[in-house]
Parts: sequence; structure tokens; C-alpha cells
Amino acid sequence: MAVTDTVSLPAARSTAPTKGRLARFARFVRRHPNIAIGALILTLIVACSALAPLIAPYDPDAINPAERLKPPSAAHLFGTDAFGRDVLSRVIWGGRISLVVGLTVALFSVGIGLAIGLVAGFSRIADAVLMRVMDAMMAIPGILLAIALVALTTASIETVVFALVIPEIPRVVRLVRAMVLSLREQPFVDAARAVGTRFHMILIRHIMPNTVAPLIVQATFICAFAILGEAYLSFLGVGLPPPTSTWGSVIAEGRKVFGLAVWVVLFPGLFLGFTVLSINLIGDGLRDILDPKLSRRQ
Amino acid sequence: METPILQIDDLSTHFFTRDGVVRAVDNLTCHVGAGEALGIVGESGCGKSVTSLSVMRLVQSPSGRIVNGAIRLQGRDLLALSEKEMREIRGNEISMIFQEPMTSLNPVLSIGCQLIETIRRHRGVSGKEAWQRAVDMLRLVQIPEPDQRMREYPHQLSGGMRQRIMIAMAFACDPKVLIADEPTTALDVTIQAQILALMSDLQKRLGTAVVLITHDLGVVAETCQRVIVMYAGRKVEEADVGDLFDRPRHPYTKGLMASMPHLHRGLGNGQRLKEIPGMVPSLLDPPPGCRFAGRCAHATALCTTEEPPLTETGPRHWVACWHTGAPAEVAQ
Repeated sequence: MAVTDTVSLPAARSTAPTKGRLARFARFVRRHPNIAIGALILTLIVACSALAPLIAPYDPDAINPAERLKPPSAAHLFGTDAFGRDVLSRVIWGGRISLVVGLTVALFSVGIGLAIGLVAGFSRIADAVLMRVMDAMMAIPGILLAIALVALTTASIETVVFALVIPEIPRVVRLVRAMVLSLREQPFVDAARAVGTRFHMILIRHIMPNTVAPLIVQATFICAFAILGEAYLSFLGVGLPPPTSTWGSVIAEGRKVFGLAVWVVLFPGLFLGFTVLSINLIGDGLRDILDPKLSRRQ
Repeated sequence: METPILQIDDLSTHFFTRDGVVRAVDNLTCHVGAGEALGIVGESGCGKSVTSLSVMRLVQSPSGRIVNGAIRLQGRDLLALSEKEMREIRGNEISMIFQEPMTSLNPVLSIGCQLIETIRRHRGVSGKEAWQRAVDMLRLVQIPEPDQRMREYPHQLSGGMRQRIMIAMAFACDPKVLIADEPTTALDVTIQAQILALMSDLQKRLGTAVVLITHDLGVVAETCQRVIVMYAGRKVEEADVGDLFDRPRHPYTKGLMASMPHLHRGLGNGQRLKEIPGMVPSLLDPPPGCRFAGRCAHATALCTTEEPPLTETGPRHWVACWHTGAPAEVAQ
């Protein structure tokens, strides 16, 4: 299986330290099976998307009317859609967009949200202003924002990411701010001040690391949510324009022929579901590891 | 008398709350000599901790403010320093040990990381030197396997161990003054004794002046040379430790002593420990005159109208009470 593949690779290089590494890896897998499973699924999906030009059997956009709505077969593993395009190729290529959107949305919303949340948690004046702005941002429905943005500009990956990041930021800000408010009253912050630690060092070295564990968990959920969100947008036709394939757009096109060719919807749906599941599994596992009180470090 | 290392003059720290001004510390004057251990005793809410936070200039702003007085560290007025200059003093020349060892260490940073941060902050040494210094400090506070402990996290250590680490951190930069705010309150009794012994030992070896804040007279008797008794934000009595225990003058001090159980003077059947009747007056609107008057068995009309001045009733023994002149009358 793939697990043995990954560990046999370093074993080939050297023998002495690998035994320890192998044992440690095995112990990690035993202790955190959800991370191992999640990482395995996600690695496979990411690898598929990254290697799309090499492994996709057909051009994802090549139309072939003779091969319309063919069920899965040796020639077309996931069948073909209404235009005779290979669903497997479209799913592999579509994963690129979905994964990139998920990752960038998670990075941007957590990064921006963390910065704003730290400031809001520490300065009363900034807090009053920023939180009202956040309330306003929270009131914007992401889908409507995306539709408006697509109407104003052209549909592009930046537009989709922007539309998904905006409603996500206030959620992160609120989480960070709440954590900072309780953390700043902790005795260790007083203790840090009592040894002469500078203000920004307290914020960065003492407060921020304490917010990281919940944030990473939150980031995995945002990532999963953004992948779904991109699929919604594509499904509604306000994502990337055709013929670009994303999981959402493949499902959207397959919807029309659902009664005739269930495979067009089923396979991208499975990829979408497994990706979100694997990210959530990793998120749960990371939460257990990153909380030093929960982990049993030796 | 040699010049004290830390001199507090007329210190008043008030909290400006919605309900009014809380006079947490009112005109407190005291000093600590080099290598001396001063105990500050009093019940909860008498201003002990606020005094220590005032010296560190860490009083919770904006509600809390030092409104009056001077705090001199070797003649340098700390209240006149900028926040930046003050940061150079904290942890370097004056350090502090807090009551709660369980929460005074950052849970997500390793012990070594926190020790090294303090050392590098003030000493400007390389990471390697700071690591070595931190290990030496852990050895000094008698922590076994210091190299391994450096990599551990606070939750892996017991309360006593964590307090040892706080002590190591406090002594890491050779401070001139160490303020220990109820350092043993959160620990169990056997560990208390160990921690106090360790602190006394380090104080003698390193010549650090110590201000020990506690509500436990027993702790003071063991570790301090001089004691200040505080009541409702004021100093009511100051004396050498032996003198205070032998001849307490203020009725409040006497009350505190009477409320301590004695091993050899056991209580008879059905006898209770003496408590001081009443409650600490609100610091929001303190009564005129002596603040203890409301709970004092010997209070007279004078006590409720005029504030008693601190008077020297014996060698190095000051009391703020109108009735110390006639001890026989006051003694119960």
C-alpha cells in the first residue's frame, strides 16, 4: 500500500537512522490514525491534480460527440459527459482549481483575520472600529457578493477567492479576538511583562502561539468550506466560466443529464467529498497534537 | 544606617472605578536594605499586591494609577522613568515571583524557551550562552535533569517545580530586588517549606534584597528580618521580626497573632481560635481616623476622628495607633 511506499523511500537511502525514523513514523500513524488517513487521501488527490498533464488520459475540454454519455469503461474509467468529454480527465484537472481555491482562501482568511483579531483584542479603540466593520462584512452573503463581483468584473480565480475570503474573515477575527481577550488576562502575560518583555513581543511570542492551535483547526474547516463554496459558485454559474473544469462545474453540467448518466455527477462529487473529509480528519488530528495539554509528548 | 536599595516614600496607588476612588495603597513608606528580607503582611485586599505591582509599575491601567509618592531603586526614581527604561529594570534589577505557578508560565512555550527569552532580553548574550545560563539556573534551584527540563512544557511539571522555575527565572539576571507575591500560597505545605528554604538560601548566597508578600505570619517568621503589617491600604506597624512577634503593639497585629494556632499552647476543649470581629472596611470610602477603629476593641472617640500617626515605640519599631502609649490597657 501507499503507506509502505512512503516509508521504503528513505529506507533505501540509509539504514542506520531510518530504523528509528521508521519506528517513529509507525508510532505516529498508530497514535493519530485520522491524520494518517486524511493525509494519505489528500496526498493522492493533490498528486493527481498536480500531475494532471501527465496522468489525465484525455484533454479535459476535447469534445467528442460520438462518445456522448458513455458509462464507465476501460477507455473512459469515469465515463463521458454530454459533450463526450472524459469525466476522469475533467475531474483530475478540476481538482487543481478546487484545491488552489481552498488553500488560498484558508491562508488569506486566517492570515488577515489573525492580524485584525490581534489588534482588536489589544486596543480598545481599534476594537470598537474594527468589530463594527467586521459586523458589516459578516452581513454580506458570500454567494451574492460573488454574483455581484462577477457582474462587475470578469469571472476569474481571484474573484472567486475574494468572494469566499470576505465572509470568512470576520469569523476568524472574532475567534482570535475572543482568545486574545482571555489570554491577555492570564498571569503568564503579567509574568512576561514583569521580566521586561516588550509589548509587541508579548503579542507575538506569548499571545499569538496560544491562538495557533484553534486557528489551524479553523483553517482546515475554512479550506474544506471554500472547496465546497467554489463548487457552489461554479454550480450556480458564477464561478469560472466554461469550459474550465472545476469539481463544481462538472457537477453542475452533469446535473442536466443526471437521469441518463449518474457518473458525471458521482465521481466529482466523490472527489469533493473525500477531499473535504480528509482535510477535516487532518484538522481534528492537528487539534489533538497542537494542544500541548492534550498531547502526550515524551 | 546604610542607604536602602529600594526606598518607597508616601506611595499612594488608587483605582478610579465607576463607583469612586478605591484607595488600595495610601501613603505607604518603607525601605529594603541590600540583602535584607522584608515581609509585608496583611489580609486579602489590604494593598500588599498592589504595592508590589506599583514597584514594578504594572498596576492595571487605565483604572489604576500611582497618584503620589516616589519609588527609588538605589536613588533612581522609578516613577520618573519612561516605559522603555522601566522595561530594562523589570526582570533585570527588580524581578517578581507570582502567586500562581500553574498559570504564570506560558503553556505553549517550553521552559527553556521562556528562561532563555528573559536572559537574552537583558543580557544580550548568544543563544548558546543563554541556554547554558538557564541550565545553571535550573541546577541552582535544584531541579533534577535540567537539560531535559529545558525542553519540557509547563503542564509536564508539578506546581512546586514550576515555582522553582519561576524562581530560576527571577534570579536569572541577578536582580537587586526580588518581590515575591505570595510565592507559596498555591503550594502544599511540604513544598512551601522547600520553596521558602530555597528562596532564603538563594537570597543569602546571591545577596538579593527580598520583599516577601504574604498573609502567613509563619512564613514571615521563618524568612524575614523585618516586617510591615498593612491594613486597608495603610502601614499600621513595622518592626524587626523578633520584636514584632514578642511585642506586637497594634491591636490588629495582636489580632493576627491571636488567630494563629499554636502547637504548644493547645486549645482547650470547645475553645475556638480568636478571630478579629468584623470586616475590612471598604476602600472606596474609608472612614476617617484609624481604619481599624470599627473592629478594634479599644477604639475611642479619638480613633474614629483622627488618623493615628506612625510613632516609634521602641528601637526600629513603629506603630500607628493612639493607644500604644499604655500597652497594659490595650492588652487583653
